[in-house]
Amino acid sequence: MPPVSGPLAGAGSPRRREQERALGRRVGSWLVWWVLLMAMWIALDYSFDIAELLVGAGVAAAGAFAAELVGHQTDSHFRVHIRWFTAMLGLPGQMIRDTVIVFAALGRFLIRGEQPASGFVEVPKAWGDESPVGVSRRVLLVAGTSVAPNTFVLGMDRERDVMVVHHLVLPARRAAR
Amino acid sequence: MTGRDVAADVLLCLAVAVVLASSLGVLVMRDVYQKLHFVTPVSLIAPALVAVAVVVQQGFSENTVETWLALLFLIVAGPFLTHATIRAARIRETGDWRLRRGDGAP
Repeated sequence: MPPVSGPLAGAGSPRRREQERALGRRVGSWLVWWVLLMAMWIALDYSFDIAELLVGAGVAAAGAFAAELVGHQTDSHFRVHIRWFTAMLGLPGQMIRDTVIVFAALGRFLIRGEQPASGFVEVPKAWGDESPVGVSRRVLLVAGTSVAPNTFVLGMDRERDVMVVHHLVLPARRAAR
Repeated sequence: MTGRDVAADVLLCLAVAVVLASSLGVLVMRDVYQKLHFVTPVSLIAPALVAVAVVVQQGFSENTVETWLALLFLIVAGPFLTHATIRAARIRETGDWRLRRGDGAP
């Protein structure tokens, strides 16, 4: 079995802990979580009975506290730029295109026995920094790229500023190499 | 049977077809990396088709909201699950997820 790489639970240096953060910001963040969770409760429960709303408020408060606690323990907070979401508008179309590509590859394999020209590719992507915005950008890059069926992100290499992806069917210019 | 019913049935049949084709893909593809590409249609495309079928059939109601919320969870969780799985598979196979010489496109 190959040697294990990556972090192991309970080994190495302790997790990063969040530095001191202003109480106002912490309360604001908790409030955003509470509003989101409460809205989800109302959408799921679909009742405006006082008793049920109170239970929802309590559960949402506990959930918001847990989310804040995890953010504090791991020193990670979600910060985004609105312009990133405009880039995501193209994702549904990309998903449909990729679904066609993937099933066409399956069809070619079943009919002609032709293996798809799959492989890993390095895509230039700046690593960025360790700020909440930088971390959130990398999280969204990984998720946004992996959502369409033909492409998965394996990881982002901070030393070489590349994102390693796997394609089931490589783009034409890559496959032609 | 109304037009809505027909449209909903077509969408549900399409969802079933996507799941069956994806299962076949998982079965016949060469390695774990190729097989994983057929998990996304099952976890995202088929549920999206079912969600659209629910909207077509029932219009916007409390049931529809729950369906969209469930779909939202799948959309958010799916890519990370795939990313974590392929990364774990790669580390298990080579000891590190980074590419080595000769690992790139054929």
